Amino acid sequence: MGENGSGKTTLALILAGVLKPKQGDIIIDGKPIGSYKRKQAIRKIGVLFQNPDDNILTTKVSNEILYAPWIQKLDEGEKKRLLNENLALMNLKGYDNKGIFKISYGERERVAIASLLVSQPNILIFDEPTTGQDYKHKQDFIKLAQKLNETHTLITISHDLEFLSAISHRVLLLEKGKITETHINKNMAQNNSRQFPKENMQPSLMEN
Amino acid sequence: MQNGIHFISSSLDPRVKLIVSMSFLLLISTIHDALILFLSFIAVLCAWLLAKLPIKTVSYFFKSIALLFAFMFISSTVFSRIAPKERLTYIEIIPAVIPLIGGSGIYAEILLASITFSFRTLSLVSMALLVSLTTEPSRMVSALRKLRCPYELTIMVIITIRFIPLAIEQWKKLAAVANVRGIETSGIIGRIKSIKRLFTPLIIHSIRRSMQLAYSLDARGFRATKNPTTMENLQLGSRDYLMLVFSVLLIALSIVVLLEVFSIQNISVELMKLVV
Amino acid sequence: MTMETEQEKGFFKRFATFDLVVIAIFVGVWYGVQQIWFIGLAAIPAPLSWVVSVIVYELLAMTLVLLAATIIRKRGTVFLIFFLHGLLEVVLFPNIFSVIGLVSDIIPGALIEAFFYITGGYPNNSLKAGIGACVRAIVFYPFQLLLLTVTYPEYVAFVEFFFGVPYGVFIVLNVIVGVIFGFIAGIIGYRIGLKVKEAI
Repeated sequence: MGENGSGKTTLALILAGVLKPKQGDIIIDGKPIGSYKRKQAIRKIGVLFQNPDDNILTTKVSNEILYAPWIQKLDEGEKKRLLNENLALMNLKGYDNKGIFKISYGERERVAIASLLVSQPNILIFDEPTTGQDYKHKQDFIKLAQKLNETHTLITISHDLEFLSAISHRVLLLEKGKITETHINKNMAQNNSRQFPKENMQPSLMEN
Repeated sequence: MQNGIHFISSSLDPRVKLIVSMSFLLLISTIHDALILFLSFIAVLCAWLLAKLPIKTVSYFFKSIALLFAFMFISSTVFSRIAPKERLTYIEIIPAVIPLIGGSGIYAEILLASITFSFRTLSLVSMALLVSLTTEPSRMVSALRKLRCPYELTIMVIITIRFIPLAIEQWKKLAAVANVRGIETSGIIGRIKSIKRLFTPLIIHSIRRSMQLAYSLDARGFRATKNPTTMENLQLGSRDYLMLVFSVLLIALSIVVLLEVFSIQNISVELMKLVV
Repeated sequence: MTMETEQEKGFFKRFATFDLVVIAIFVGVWYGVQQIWFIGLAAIPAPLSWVVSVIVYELLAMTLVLLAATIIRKRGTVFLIFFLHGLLEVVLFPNIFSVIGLVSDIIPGALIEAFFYITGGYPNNSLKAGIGACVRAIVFYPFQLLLLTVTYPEYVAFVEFFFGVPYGVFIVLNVIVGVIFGFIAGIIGYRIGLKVKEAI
């Protein structure tokens, strides 16, 4: 986490191999991320950008989810299997023929996640995934993230302490492109504001 | 070109700048003498100095202008239509004693023609750039309004100008998304493939943005009145009138040159004959 | 999204705010992509870069124009896109040649509108869209290339040296390439337009 302009999204893009770092390298499975071809790299790491709409490349849910398999020229049987599996995982059964922009914001976010999971990466990066979500959808997303946490490595960029406290084992604080603090405390929301600037603390509306 | 460029707000009315710029260009179109065109270019450079633009901006654009000059000069020297060679003055550049390339040179008349053409183009480009860099697009649009351009059209111009960097930004975002879905977007082939793959998503995103912008415009009373006032009301000042008089003089001079009242088109040729 | 306004007269009356914004944004996309891709290409004096720049220019411009026409489907859309594109050049780079460029943008726009009017309205099939898009190349290239001989007189010798063909033949080649790729672009624009309309 960190203030706006601290370099969080840039870091996410560097980790995913989309941007090249000026110094140093990102090593995944013993090799620099830049040495993988894109088709191989997406099997290692996937990125969900902040606004779900920014993740959309097609007009239909099934086309969106199957975008990477289509690029990789998988056979129809395999594509169908992956589609059904990921629709079920994201609670989107029956959505395959729906128009992407005819579904809700939260549903589009789940489609965007499914489109990453279909490549079966080990590492997932989420950039501000709870921004703009209502309380119920945020809780649903936290449950989803906790489930994904069991099988994947999650790297999350967020200002949302409640979300981070629910899923993070470790939190790094970024300031002006540098990591200034590391916390291995799970319950970040209960921590006092001594370590974090007051501006980063968010009021939360709790549902009874 | 618009991103990050600081517009120095000039006290001259944009309409006047347009008129001065076009009169100047009309004049240099009528002149075919290299020396006078060179002096015209110097005059434009003086105008650049008076504009007091940031050094970084000036050096960026002058590097581009220098490149343009080099390209035009070389290509027009090499590819000029030429009269029979025996009627031209040959200038040997590489002495004949040097093996293989010795004796190479150019024709003085062609050199002069290239200089003429290059400086005419340079004056044109640097004048237009100066007007562009010293005028905020919104002021130019206000000028259009004063010139009775329809209100809808002026708003569309502003939206388009504002959207150009957003379109580029959106393209980059989509390229990043395509990257994380396994598409190579770097290299020539990657770029060509990415155009094919990202064009439709770019259009869809643009249209969705259009919807939001349209709601926003309607909510602010776009087209609610026939002739809305503008935030900036352009008024001509004494400096503007002075520049208008200057423009009239430039136009008059163009006519004088065209009618060949004074013989100024051969100054450089005479000078060259003296030198060569 | 309509409301009673005093602006209910004149050319713009038929367009909703959304239509005007879409046109403005499409011209922004056109100009933005043009700036990225063409500045380098057009300056390279080689037959290959000339062909590539004509092809890409036609594909870009006419795809966007026919896309807009298919989505908005109101008479005057094509003309307005070309007019706005030309006007943008004048506003961003004011000089006599951008004014002439405005004229050279308007003429094809008007002719394409005339073509659609004569053939019974904006395209409802790919063939009509493709043919409409061709009209631009027939007018635009001769106009621009003849104008170039005035602003850049050495261009004729330049072309004849590099391409080994007389200038008149070069103009015809431009028209042929422009017509072929304009036709393809018209069809692509129409089809993408239908897809986009369905998606939104």
